[in-house]
Amino acid sequence: MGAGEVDSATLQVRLLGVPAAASIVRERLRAWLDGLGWPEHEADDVVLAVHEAVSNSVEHGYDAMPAGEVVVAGDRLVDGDGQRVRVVVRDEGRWRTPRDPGYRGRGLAVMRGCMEGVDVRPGAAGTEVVLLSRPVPASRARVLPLAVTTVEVHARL
Amino acid sequence: MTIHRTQVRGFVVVQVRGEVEALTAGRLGDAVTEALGDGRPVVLDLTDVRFLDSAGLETLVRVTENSELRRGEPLRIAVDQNRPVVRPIQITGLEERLALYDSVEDATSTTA
Repeated sequence: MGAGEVDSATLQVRLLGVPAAASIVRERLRAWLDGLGWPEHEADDVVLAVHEAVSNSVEHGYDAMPAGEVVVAGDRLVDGDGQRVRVVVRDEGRWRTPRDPGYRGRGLAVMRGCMEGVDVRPGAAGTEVVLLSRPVPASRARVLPLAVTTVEVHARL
Repeated sequence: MTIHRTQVRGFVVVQVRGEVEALTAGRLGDAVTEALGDGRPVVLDLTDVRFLDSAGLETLVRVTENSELRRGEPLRIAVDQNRPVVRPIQITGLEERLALYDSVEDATSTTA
């Protein structure tokens, strides 16, 4: 993961890991990327990759346990004349080993196809998925929007 | 996600609108399976789908296999150049596995 200077345009979404969480994350992430002036097709790929990570947390992270929290944290890295977003999806469950190569394998393949870097870090306390986007030209960036967007959603839908 | 069922030139057309993801993919699969049970050729129209994830891809593979078993040919899927659908299919290399058409018109213009 490239060093890159981190600026303050961060995204933080914390929500209960229920199936409807994924669509809420998609909506918030899209708004954040729009605010950063991210090119549309690149934004589509980031949204799809993050969705896959959140979906995995929601579907499998909490098997046979009450839903826990899923946290999605995004920041923008500016490096020379390029910029990337890095989005970390963290849950308190365990990442399901891709027993079913079709489905899980495809979820990972989608993430890898959409991003420059995908790092799945299973841990005792939960799983962290770190997604790094492909670079887009820094000149595409608008003036920074609101510094921090924090959304907390705890509704069980 | 909404599903409408129509008929075009002897084909049953299952038209899907909205977002196909883990929450909704099962309903799409059920609708296609039910349509296949009618004995007529089926076209799945995804040209108005705005989002498709890996659960949706898995469903497309499954209903393609169902169609092959029941009808001896893959399910015809109309996608146009609809990027939210085409992009995940291409990333995962499924354009070779799925029978993709530019439009419902195109998918229904050759005999099953």
